[in-house]
Amino acid sequence: MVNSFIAWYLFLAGMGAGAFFISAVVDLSLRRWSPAWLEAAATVTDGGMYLGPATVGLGLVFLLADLGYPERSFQVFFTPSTSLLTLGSWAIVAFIGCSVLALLVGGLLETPLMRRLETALQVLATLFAAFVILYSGVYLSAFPSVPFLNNALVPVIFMLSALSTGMGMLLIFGFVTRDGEDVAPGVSICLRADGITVALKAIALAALLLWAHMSYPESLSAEALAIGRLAGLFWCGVVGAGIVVPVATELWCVRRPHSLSYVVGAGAAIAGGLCLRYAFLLAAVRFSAVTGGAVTFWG
Amino acid sequence: MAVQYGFFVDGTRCVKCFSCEVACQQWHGLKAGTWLRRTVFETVEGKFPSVTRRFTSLSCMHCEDPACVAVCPVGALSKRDEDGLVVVDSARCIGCRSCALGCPFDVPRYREDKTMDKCDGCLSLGRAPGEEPRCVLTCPTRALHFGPLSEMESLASAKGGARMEGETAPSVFVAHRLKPISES
Repeated sequence: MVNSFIAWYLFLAGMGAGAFFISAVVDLSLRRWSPAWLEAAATVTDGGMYLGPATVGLGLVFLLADLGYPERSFQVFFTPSTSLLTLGSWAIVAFIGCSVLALLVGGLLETPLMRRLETALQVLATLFAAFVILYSGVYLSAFPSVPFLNNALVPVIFMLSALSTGMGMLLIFGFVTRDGEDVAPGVSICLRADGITVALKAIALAALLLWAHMSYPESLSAEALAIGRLAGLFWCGVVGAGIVVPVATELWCVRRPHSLSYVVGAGAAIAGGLCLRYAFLLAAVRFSAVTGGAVTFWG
Repeated sequence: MAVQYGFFVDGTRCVKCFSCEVACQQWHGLKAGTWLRRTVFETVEGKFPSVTRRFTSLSCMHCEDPACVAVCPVGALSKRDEDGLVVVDSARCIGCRSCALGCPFDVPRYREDKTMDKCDGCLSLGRAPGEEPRCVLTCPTRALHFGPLSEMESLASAKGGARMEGETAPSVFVAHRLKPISES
């Protein structure tokens, strides 16, 4: 049912759309008003305009590679359907199209008309990015036969993870491409914002595990994550890399603005996001209504 | 939709001979050891000597509200107007496995060519309206029945059976002995 292609797709699409969403919200806000803190943040986040569509495009390659007949996938766009997969496919293509067009239009003539067109495209791309961030978690949570994922917390966790990994990518991109002194004020603001995202993710994750622990058969997945076969992946990858290291380095860097340890935290957040996708897909159990027993989900 | 067709699985007559499974495999050219369109499930209840073994031959439920059709992004799955059977167009299937995730009964299977496969009521074999699928024709104990759902309901009621439960409204009725043979 699901496999590594799906885990990587969920990770890359979430991270790419998350990075673009943050970048576009900052950029669009700056067109309305320009407080110093927002301008500082933009020095870190502006890379998302390029990184977002590129990363989602890479994720799309993984999604196509997972299909039995990728060459037939274009049929999705010619079949009237309101299935989440159809809506998600349209959103991905529309997001990549609008974001790339916005970049092209922005790089052309600097006229008021072109500026308005670029803004309109960017607003559309931001809306589609939000849909890309949300729909994959909603899709996974839509199947009652997979009880561990069939709840409202899973889309919330995926959304927060997309924003956190997206911010991680932006921080690393800013570190690599910009002078440290230039981005230092923006880094501090981004780290505070990301700290809130990671904290919310930790709360949602704890709530999911607690709920799953108290429900059967969801408890099978919760136990596999907390104390079972996936405990290493969960505690080291999802909790350690995805929550503890980013929060610790963010706290450190907020007190010491010139420290570069946030790059380690950003890298850990990205690794944690990948571990989260793997952990959820590996822990989920699918059940058959005929036998009541577990049937294949991973593999 | 004109009339919803479905199955009645009379577990009081089934002897777990697997004729239905074999007939399905043979007629549809399914290789041994790959996948099945129809499976005989067995449940055992009680303790010796009061043991109840139940055999239930099931395939696609041809649900009235099929989850697989709803989630297919390319319309490869459809519900026929003529008889309500759920059929798959392999030439359209992209192999995304959404139908398998959506089906609560774990029915869809994936062929070597990575497209979905499931029971089509033997329509692909040219079964004419009024004819019965191969599994039904082959069953030596007449434990399998196929026809309009109202007729299946009548047959099931006579045996104390009931419709299979599920939000998708499966078009399958099942009857079983309520007690072990030694006690009935």
